Amino acid sequence: MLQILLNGLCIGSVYALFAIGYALVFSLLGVINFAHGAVFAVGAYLTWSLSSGTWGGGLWPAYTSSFHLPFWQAALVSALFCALLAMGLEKVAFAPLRKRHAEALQYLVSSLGFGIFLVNLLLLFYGAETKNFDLDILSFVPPLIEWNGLFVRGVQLLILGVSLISLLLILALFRFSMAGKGLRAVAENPQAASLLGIPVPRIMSLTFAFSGALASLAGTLIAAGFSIPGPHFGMLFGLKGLAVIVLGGMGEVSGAIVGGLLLGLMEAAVPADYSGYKEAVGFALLFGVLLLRPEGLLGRPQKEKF
Amino acid sequence: MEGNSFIFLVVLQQALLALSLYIPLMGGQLSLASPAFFAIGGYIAAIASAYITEGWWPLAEDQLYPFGFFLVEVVISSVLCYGLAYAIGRMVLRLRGIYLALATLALVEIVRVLCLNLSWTGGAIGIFSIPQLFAEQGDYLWVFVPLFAVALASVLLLERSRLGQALRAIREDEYAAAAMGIDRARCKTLAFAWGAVLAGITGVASAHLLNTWNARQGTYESAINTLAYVMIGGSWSAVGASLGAGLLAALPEWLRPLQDLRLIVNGSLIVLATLFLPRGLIQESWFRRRFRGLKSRELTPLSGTKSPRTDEILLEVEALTVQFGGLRAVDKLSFQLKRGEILGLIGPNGAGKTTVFNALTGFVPLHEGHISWAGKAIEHLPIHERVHLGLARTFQNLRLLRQQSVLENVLAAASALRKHEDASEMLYDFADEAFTYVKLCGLEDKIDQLSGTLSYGDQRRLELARALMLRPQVILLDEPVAGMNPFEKKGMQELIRDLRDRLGLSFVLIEHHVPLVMGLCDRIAVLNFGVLIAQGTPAEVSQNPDVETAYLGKKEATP
Repeated sequence: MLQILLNGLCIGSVYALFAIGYALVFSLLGVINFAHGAVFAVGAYLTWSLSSGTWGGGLWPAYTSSFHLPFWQAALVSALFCALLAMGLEKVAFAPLRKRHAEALQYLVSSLGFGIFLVNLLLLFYGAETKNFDLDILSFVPPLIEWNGLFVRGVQLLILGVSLISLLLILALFRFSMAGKGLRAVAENPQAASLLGIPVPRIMSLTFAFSGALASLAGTLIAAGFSIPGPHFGMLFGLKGLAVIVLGGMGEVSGAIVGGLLLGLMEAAVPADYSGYKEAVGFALLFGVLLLRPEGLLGRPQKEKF
Repeated sequence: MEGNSFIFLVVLQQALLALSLYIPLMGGQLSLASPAFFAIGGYIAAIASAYITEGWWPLAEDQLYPFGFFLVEVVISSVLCYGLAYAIGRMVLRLRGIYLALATLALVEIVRVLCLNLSWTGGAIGIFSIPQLFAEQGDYLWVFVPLFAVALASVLLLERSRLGQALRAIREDEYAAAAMGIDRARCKTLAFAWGAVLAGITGVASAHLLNTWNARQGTYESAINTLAYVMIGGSWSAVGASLGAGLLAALPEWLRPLQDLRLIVNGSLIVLATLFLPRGLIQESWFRRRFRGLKSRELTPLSGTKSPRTDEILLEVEALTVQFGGLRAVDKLSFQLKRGEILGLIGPNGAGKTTVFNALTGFVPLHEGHISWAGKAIEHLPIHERVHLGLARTFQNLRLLRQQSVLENVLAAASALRKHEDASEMLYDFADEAFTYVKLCGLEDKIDQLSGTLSYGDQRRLELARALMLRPQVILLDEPVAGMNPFEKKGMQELIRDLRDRLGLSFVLIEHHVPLVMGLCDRIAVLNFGVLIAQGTPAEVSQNPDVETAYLGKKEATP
């Protein structure tokens, strides 16, 4: 039971971290960023390369450089890179649509196109093979700890620690910082926020940067804890992230956290005999929640004016 | 040559899937469920053909699968997909926009994971050696070309039918559609189910084409790819959706010389296309229909009415109460409306006048009280059924179909006229009648103009013309002259009176323009803070001290 709880919280906290990126963009623009999963994959690959010194492997021949960073620094550099990448994504696939007040569907398609572009770039560069982190890269955490019959992988503690601290930081950031308040204002009403002197384009950029960094961090943690089974895993993880924000309520940071933890716990609770159905748990849950509470667990229902 | 025919098959398959996504999208329903039904269709073909050939119709080596059995599979798949989609549709179609997309995406994943794990779908390996219909792969064009032709023709026909126009209205403004008497749930479910049937049939055909079927067919990735194709091809016309999708699906094949770069190019093209082709490659405006030579008809008074005004009570409201949270927007309101009467509903801003209309028409639920129509209780009826009884309304905030022309807006209101009134299924048969009302409202020179580009006053007149197309007995007019100049106001006043006198229509009128209310209404009811404070003839109401206080405030006591 405790084992399930631990495993669930571990994966769930990464889901939460990842899904916050969706929630932030949704709260601002009311649309879903379908390239989020691709940015996640970029982050995972980049950390892997930076910390192992191995690059390429696809069409690009595999190449090992002697230069490599410790895991922490690699994760940080890759988060920064993904922040820039996501800012670029906003400039290319979102800002022009926002200018012409495009319908929500078009954002979905343009970000999807960007995602396809990124994933196939990764495929070209790295190939489709599974990549694993070497043990010595993660040697700063013990491989396996046994405590009262409870088995904990050191990496799990790492994942849990990093993501819980990040989640707390994020919550604090949104409550108290100026940027957080600005973001909430823009989410509420962009025109009014703009009139109040809040730099809306900069808030947009910042939000995307932040969500990109979070995606990269989530990618890094998942890759370190499990593996990178090929560039497409970003898209699949992206889909799970969608289930998470629907569970929690689309535009809510706290909803993303609750939804993420919930999904992690539910998946961990699936008995081993039925592990094949694990992937469907999130979606069955999503389906159920949408039918009973279309606005999500923590979301607010929208009112129509006649 | 073999390669070319394969590309063509892929194009047709994607075009069919795009059409299956487009059918619910006609009603604004962003359903990504097609791949799920595509997968189900394929499994039906795989399982049924295995059952047939292993059991009572064994095939010899090199013997082809009889075409009749293929048709049987198509029928089984259609029935099953229709039933399944109808049941699921009833559940999920009250979700809006992206929520529906996500729910249907979840459905796709659930179906995929089930097929991956169940033993009778072959698990991860899938089902092999599905019998072939033709010796050559290229010959499958004999299935796919007619299938696509029939599918496209039916969707084109659907677009011109009343169901198609109803879907179109729902896509542009769901509540406007409801006010036009359109049964939203029914239309959406039908579209969803037919989309599913088409996806299922495509699955059946594809399973035979591919010879093998597994859980990699019909993934969520193919769902969102198809969506991207439809959006880029043109999401407002069947031709755009299917042709655009087919061409874009073929692009990676044509780009084969670029080898590994082709999907990167594809992704970039998708981004570029959304940026520079907002309405898609194939634009709806190319197909816009212009109306010529329409003839205005003679107006016929409502059946059974000799003189416009009678003492028959059409609409009766008793102790109507509407509550939003702790706020009582309408508090125990009672009034009656007789046939041929014009009742004014006035009161200061925020008095709850529009809320009364919303409650009468079913847009907001009532907390307490009764509404009866010719003696029958109607408060439990959904919006569209009240419209069918003869209760029409206009909107203060103007809910027109802004992407459609003036005449199309009025025609859209004919899409929900009940069958026993008119046998015709095709919408354009109503064009003359629609033109009659357009002309009556003074818009006959602007029938082809997009309603979103009309002046404020013209938009209000169009709202009235649209309400008339519903062949109503009572029209609830919400500020019909707001934003009009004095000359236009006068015209509207005469029009309303004329409609009452010639057609025997009754009106409830919300209006702030006092001369119009006084000059037009037989009786006036005054609301303040949701409470009825006065009721009577214009003369009585204008002398009522409570009314004066409500509008102008209390007189200061002079010391």
